[in-house]
Amino acid sequence: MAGHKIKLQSSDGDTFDVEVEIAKQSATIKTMLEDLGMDEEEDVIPLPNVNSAILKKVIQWATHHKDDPPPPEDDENREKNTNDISSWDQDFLKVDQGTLFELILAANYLDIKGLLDVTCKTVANMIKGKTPEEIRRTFNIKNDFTPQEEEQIKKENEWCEEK
Amino acid sequence: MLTFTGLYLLRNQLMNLLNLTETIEDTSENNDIIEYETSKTINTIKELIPIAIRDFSSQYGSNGSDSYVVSNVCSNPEIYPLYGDSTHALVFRTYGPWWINMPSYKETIKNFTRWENHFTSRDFIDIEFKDFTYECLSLNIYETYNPGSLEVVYVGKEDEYGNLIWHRIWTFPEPFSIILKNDEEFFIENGRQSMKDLFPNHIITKSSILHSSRLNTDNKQILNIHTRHRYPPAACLPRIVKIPLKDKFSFPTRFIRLEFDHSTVNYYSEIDTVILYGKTLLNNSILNEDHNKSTILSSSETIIENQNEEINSSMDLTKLPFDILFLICSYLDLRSLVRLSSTCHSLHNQCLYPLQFQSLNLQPYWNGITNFAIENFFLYHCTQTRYLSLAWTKSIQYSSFNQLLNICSFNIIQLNLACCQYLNGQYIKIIVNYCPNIEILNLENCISLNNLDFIPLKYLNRIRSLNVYRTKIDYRTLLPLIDNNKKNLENINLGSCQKLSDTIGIIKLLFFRCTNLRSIDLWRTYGLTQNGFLSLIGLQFDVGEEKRRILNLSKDEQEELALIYSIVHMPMEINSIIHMKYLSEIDLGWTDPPSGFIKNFVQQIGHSLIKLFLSACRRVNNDDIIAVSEHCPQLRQLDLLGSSIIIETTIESILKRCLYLEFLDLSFCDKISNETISIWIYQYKNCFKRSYSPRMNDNIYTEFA
Repeated sequence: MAGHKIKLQSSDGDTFDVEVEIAKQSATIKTMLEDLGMDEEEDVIPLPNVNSAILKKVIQWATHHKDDPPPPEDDENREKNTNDISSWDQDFLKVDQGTLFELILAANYLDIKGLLDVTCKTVANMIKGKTPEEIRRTFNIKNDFTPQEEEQIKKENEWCEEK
Repeated sequence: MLTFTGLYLLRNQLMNLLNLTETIEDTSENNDIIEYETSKTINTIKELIPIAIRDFSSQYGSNGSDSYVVSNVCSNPEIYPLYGDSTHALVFRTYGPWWINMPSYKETIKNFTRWENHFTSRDFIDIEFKDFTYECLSLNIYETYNPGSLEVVYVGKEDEYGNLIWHRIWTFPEPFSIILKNDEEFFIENGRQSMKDLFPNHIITKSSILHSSRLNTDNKQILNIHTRHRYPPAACLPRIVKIPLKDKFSFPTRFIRLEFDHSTVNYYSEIDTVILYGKTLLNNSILNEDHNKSTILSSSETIIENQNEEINSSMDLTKLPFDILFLICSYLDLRSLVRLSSTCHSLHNQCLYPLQFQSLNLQPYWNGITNFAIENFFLYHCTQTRYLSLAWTKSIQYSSFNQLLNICSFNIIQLNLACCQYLNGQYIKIIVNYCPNIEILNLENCISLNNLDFIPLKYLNRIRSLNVYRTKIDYRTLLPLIDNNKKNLENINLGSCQKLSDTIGIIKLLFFRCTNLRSIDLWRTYGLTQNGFLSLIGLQFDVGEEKRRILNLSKDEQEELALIYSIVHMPMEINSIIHMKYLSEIDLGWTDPPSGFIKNFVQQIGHSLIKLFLSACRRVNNDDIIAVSEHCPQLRQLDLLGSSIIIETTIESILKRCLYLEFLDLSFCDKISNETISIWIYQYKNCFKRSYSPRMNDNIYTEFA
């Protein structure tokens, strides 16, 4: 029933009261509640893979998106557009990279498709249009190619560069 | 906003802008080739007109005709400064969102899920000029109808083997200028070129009631189309688009490639001519310049680092689980994916996983797809490729093509080879030998293939969509192919095919056997006779004339046809076509069906029809169109261009009954007045199309309707 709350417990022991309908955006939690017949009032759902800072963000996101229509079932054949991120989500995801990656992992673990998509798109947008060196700087990636390897790769990849 | 920062009025500063003042005095008056020879023939500025079209993607006109064909740009300006629809202009096959939004087209792009957002070109033309230009100054494109769709300009550099290497030198909305008929020049810095942008201080007047914002619902149609252009892209004025070339590259050239994105124009975009300005004799200073490609000034991809990210978590991109990295990579365009993969070993190993290449659209990279690229990159990554587009690629050798398709082989479901002029019969054999599972095949505009080259295709037996627009395919391939795929065929494009030989037989077999047919494009398909049309739908036809049609073929062809007819069990007569119950799109433009054909056609299968194009079908009469209004409740697009029979009450009946109608082309329909259309515009929410012959506007501040 709407309005009912459940308790979610983060890896560092904090518990959060969350409306069932909001929590159910996580397919993982939904399954726990429905298939395992957990008692909503009493039990605490432990989420050992999510710390409280991230869980707080996830709940904030899910609360904002609680009335979203369900994502389309089959999106195999849809163009992977990345400029359709809502302004609320864009603001929400103005976080440091560590947090962004933790959010992705949490969305993946909790199986929240909408959050996973929008966070992955955000990372994609940070990569799009950049040169390899700019990508390395953005993500602090160490170039571990030898100059010979790098030359070789550059040649192999020449086809996609504008002349 | 009173100040338009991006727009500078540079009246009469044309010469200054190009730093030409020392060498040329006036180019605006004289349209012939003019040479300004200074004493020692060092600075010879020439105005070059195209001499040939090397390659192009589509055209409105027929092969061999001189109306609406791309080769119309090979002349001095003929239309400018008039504005309107002219047979002397270059016109592409389509425009706007109307074709893109049809199910048959969506079917061909839906498998290419990777979002190549930087590539929005829809048509191209490769132009050859007579003389090499050593120092190009500008490229002037005379736009005389629905301007503003130019997307990319390339210049071609010939290597020692005569191959052309294309260098991109301008992409919309990089700066350019436009010159109006009073020689006023506007510098466009941000792509904005509407009347309001050009004349912010003038009250804009409309030249007619037809120019109402309600004339077009294109707006709604373009919502889901990714484009860099606004709607409409530019003020409807005759104009010269001037692309600056000075100092953009330093090699001599006589080749220019233009790419267009006309997805937001109101009607067909038309180009009068394209003129290249430059020095045709070698200047000493140029000789010393470095000719390598680093002299190309790329302005397109400057990246601003916006924030210094603080990293307070041990998690970073390279440590993400593979499935998440895979998902992120699926949101990247190919170039970004490849660049990400070349940052470190770990990402190199993970990003280029074969499943990332399951759907591989290389059309945006046509310019880079070389044999080297195929042999050193794609052969290693295409083992899972199911959907492959090599459209627009310039030259892939037989051996590379062979290896690539061998790697993909059974996986390939969709293969797009549009405009691949290097194809020959050997390539077709490879396709058939290696890729028996092809369902969607596009060979449009592959004019290098002759009729016999296509024959192996008849062995394919899973074809759902076949596009052979503007090819030399004939009955030898098509009759058995149709028979082999009678249950599968959903979409077929035979537009502008001129050598089908047995056009009637081919269409008869399609109508008779292909019960799943969704769309059929017969735009300018050659060989449809009046009698033939009648025989297609079970109407009374002259059997004697039908026999004479066959007897007109050569002796060999008659024998071959008889043999194929017996193999495919060619039906002698069709009694009805009601079994084609899914047919939703048909284009009969310029095929001239007899009166009564359309009536009978829609009575039988009009119920699912959403698109009916009858451009220049001058015998289609009011009875036919009334029948359309009665039997086509789903109709969304109707083209009646050029009818001098159809009257206003007939159109009223369409407007009242076809409630989903979005698009109605009434261009050059003599019996329908502009006044009536302007009343309809207020009454109905359709998109009315109405073109007109080139005309003059006295007031420069008035946009054409």
